[in-house]
Amino acid sequence: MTEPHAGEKSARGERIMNAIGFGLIGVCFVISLCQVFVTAFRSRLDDTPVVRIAHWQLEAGIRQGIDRLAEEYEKALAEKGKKVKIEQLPIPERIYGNWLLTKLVGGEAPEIVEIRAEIANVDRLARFFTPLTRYLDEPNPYNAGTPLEGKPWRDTFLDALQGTVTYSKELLDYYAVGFNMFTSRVYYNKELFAEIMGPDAVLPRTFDEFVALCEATQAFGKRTGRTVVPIAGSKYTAPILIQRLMTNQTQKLKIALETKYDLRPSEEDLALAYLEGKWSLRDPDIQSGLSLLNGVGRHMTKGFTQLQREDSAFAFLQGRALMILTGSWDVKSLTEETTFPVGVFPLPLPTQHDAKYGAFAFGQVSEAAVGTGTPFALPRDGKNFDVALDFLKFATSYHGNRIFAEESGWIPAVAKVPVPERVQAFKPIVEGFDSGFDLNLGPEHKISYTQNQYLVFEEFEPLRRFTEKQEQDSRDALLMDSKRRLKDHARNAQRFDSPLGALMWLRSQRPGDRELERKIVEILGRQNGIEIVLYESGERLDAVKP
Amino acid sequence: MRFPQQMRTWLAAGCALMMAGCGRQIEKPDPAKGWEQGSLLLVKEAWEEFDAAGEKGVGNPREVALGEAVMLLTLQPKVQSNLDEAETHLRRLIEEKPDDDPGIFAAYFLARLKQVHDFNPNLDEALKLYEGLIDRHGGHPVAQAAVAKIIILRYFSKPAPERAAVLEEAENYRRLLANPDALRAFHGVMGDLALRLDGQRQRAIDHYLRAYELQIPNSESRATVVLRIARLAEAEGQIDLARQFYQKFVAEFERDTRNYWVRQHLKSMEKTP
Amino acid sequence: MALPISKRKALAEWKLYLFVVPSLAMILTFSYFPAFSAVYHSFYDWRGGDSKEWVGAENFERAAMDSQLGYAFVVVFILIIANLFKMVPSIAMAVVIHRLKSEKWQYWYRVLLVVPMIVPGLVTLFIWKFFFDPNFGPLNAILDVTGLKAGLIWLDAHLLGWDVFAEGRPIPWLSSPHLIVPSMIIWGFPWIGAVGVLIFLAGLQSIGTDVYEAADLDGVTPFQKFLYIEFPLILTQVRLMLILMMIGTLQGFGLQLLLLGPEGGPSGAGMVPGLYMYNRAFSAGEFGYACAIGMILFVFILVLTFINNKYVRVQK
Repeated sequence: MTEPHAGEKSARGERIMNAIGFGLIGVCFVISLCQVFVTAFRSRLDDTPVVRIAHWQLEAGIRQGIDRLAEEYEKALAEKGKKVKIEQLPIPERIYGNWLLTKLVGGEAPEIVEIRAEIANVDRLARFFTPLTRYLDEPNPYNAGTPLEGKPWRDTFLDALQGTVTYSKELLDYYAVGFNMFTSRVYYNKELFAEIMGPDAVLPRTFDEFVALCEATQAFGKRTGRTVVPIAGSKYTAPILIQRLMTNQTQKLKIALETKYDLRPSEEDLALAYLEGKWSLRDPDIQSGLSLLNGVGRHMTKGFTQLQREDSAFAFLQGRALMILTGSWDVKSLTEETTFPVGVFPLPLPTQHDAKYGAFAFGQVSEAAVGTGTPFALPRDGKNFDVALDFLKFATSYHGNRIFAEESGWIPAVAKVPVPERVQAFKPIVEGFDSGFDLNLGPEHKISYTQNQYLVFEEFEPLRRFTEKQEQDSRDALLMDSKRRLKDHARNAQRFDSPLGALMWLRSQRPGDRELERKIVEILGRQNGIEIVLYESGERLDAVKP
Repeated sequence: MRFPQQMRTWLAAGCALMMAGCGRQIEKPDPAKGWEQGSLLLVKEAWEEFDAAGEKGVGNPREVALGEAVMLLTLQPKVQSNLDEAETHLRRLIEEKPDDDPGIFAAYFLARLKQVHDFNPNLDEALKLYEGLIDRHGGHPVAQAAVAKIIILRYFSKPAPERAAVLEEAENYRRLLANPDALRAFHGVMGDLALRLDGQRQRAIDHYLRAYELQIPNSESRATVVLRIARLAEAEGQIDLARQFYQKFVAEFERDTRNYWVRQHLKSMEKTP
Repeated sequence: MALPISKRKALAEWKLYLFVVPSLAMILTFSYFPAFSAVYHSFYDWRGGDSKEWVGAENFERAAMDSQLGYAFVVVFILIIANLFKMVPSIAMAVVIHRLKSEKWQYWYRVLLVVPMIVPGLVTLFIWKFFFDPNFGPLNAILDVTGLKAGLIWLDAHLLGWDVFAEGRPIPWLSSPHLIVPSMIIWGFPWIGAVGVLIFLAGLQSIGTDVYEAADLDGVTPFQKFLYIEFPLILTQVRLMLILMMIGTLQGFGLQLLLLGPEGGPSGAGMVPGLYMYNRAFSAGEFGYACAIGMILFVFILVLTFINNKYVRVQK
């Protein structure tokens, strides 16, 4: 009789375990259901307007900055007897684009969203986002009593919102406002610097001094047997340096090549000028730029073209590199996670007085055109538009931006807002010349340039080998880019005809409407400009096509 | 037999549901809403509105046909059949009544279709259509938008040695334009074209000056015009004018990255006798 | 095996098929719809967003003349050949485990093989990226310590002429165009994939012990056992792995994207069709052209699968 009894026990035990299992599932299900209903219906039960602000800035300080803004704003409104809730939605950068697009298409986007160029292309801006132009034309009420009082909201920003993401040249409207600016600087290991150069050494102020510092670091490494490189390089940080050096040496060439009397030849003009033989890679300016790249590149981590952003950061943080060139967005990470004190200085570039490189440069490049960062836009489908817009005005007012800058440690975007002490070194250097151009003259040319760039940093005849290889690729790449640009011009010329027709018809029904007139005038002006460029570029391209 | 009938019913119901979900069914189309949507670049929604209004006979049929045609120009994806349909609508509107608003609008947008929308643009035909529009309705604001197009197309249809003559002849269009916005656009286009031609710098300066006096609203365009006046004047030896406009640029566009270069240049101009 | 039911009876129970609808809907939405969308968009000049212009076969004509795409296919076929050889260690491992007399050790070897599978593939890629680090990677350190680097220097100087191996200079595995393809081949050493081993092992374990006993009686050597007994009887699994390997290699670009970036590394030496498709879409903004490349890849995979099915015969 033992076995049946054991069998009964085990069957009962199994039934009990099953019941516990199902019970647990049931309980979890009920809890989830309650959670979902509470969340879904909370907004119906509580009529407090909620404004959600979504972004991908997970760097240290930003979320705290936005939290503090939210807190101050809610307090300010509470004092006026209004209730509002600002909720932050930080989303990882890698998935942000897809997440946002899904929300926009589904009509469920948060009230305020951060945008970037690849997310906010022309089609999506037009379809999903509210233009802010007419709000930006008016003064920001939150600037009352400050040095910015009475100025149109747009003109209170350091770059007047002329950046490519905040202002759409195709749509002729402003779509976003930025919370901060970014600049790039050289971060350096203070202890190692003192070891290499002596305790009383001063930071390099000229390009020659900078190179001398790099050479001293190499010598130090050889002398002591320590693995120390002057500049931590990677695929991520090198382009910043490359761009700075190359555009320094092409400052004069750029002015020489401009034909429209506005000191600003476009990438298209430069590409066509190359195809027309007006400049080449063998020009002394370009060769000088390449020589500069090679000279500085020797002082970067060997094989840096295969290293990622984190490799260069680790090299610096682990004391294996004296310096790293990166942006102000890394200030918290690089200054707070090290075991040694970190300093910062601007990268000194050759001026026109430089004996070797001065012939091609004007000098210090202005950082005014950097453009504001973390641009936030307002989706059309967002609820509580008025509150969202008001919060943006608050955040980018003199006081609001100051709060954000102090809390986040990032440089303010609004003019006259004091730069926090710890990022004073990153304050944009506004006084300076326009930069020259680098060889990123279009998507195809950029790809070929990036693929060939490694030759510039080789040891054996780098300039000759790069020039020869790039010359083989440049013509075809620039032709392809120019053809594509023509198609883009044609598309942009077409794009506005439907809205133009609609605006013209509405004008005929509502004569005297200034907003309509403004848009029609701007669209027509833009179309005319595009068509002139389209036909002119078409002629120039026909003349150089094989 | 029962079950295939039941199945057919279910299938039919399913298909009907799917089709209902697929297209946007507009119960009460409103052409005014269509225009509003079109003005916001919501071309697909606007076209659907006009299409539904056309099918249900809502609103002024000429207005609806115009709306549909205008939206078809940029409806995506861009296919020949859309352009053909737009052209049919526009030609019919012109043939029926060339002188009312829809007829005038249709003439303009037919020219646009020929100029930029067709897969193989026909610039000669577009030019003829614009010129015809100006001849018949020169004072209409839509027709006045055609002036700039005529000048541009004539300019690029001629070889370089004949372009100065084109610009000279185009000066006559100034008389047609009373509206300050249209005048400003005219001067802007003339300046941009003269800029590109050897020996026409003075013409470019004159037109840019007129455009500047008419107050350019867009700050970026204004900065470009001010700087061009200065640079062109300097190239023409008109140093006082150049200096005046360089100073205007420095004063008004302090955040422009060219500002510093201009300031340095002004200093060097002061040093040079 | 299920008994077939009559058509009449199947139709009578038609409401049961509604249970399949949700799964079917998911497959149609997430598998078939993107594929049809890619076919559709391959005939358009599409830069992303709503704007697209019909261009007919232009994208395909361009692809036919595209030398970069041609090069990408050359690279991927080199990788397919290399991966063919890289299947050998997995087969060898499966045979070795299969021939272990102790079942307990067979079990533990299987566990040891499977445990690394919990490491996400991306982590493995990052580890290999570190291996290839010119300054701190173990690969260069091993070559230095074992003296193999001297051999490579000699080869370079006398045969290859690449100028990438030199005394006192770290080997730039991923920043020299000559070393990109070798790096992609070396990646994954010793090339013993858990999934492959388990699949081959499952095939081997279906071979009855009587076959081995008969072979032993006939005096067959261990290698002959593999050649004449084991390998023919696991040809189904080999063919399956071959198909999966070819499809994976043709389509795959994650490795190249992570190690080399969307440009395919210096001189685009590491460009493969999948990466080129990605490059066209996200670097150049040519989504329509990228779809056309996808279509061409699909045709290639279809053809190779057909050839594989037709000519790799399975002996029952």
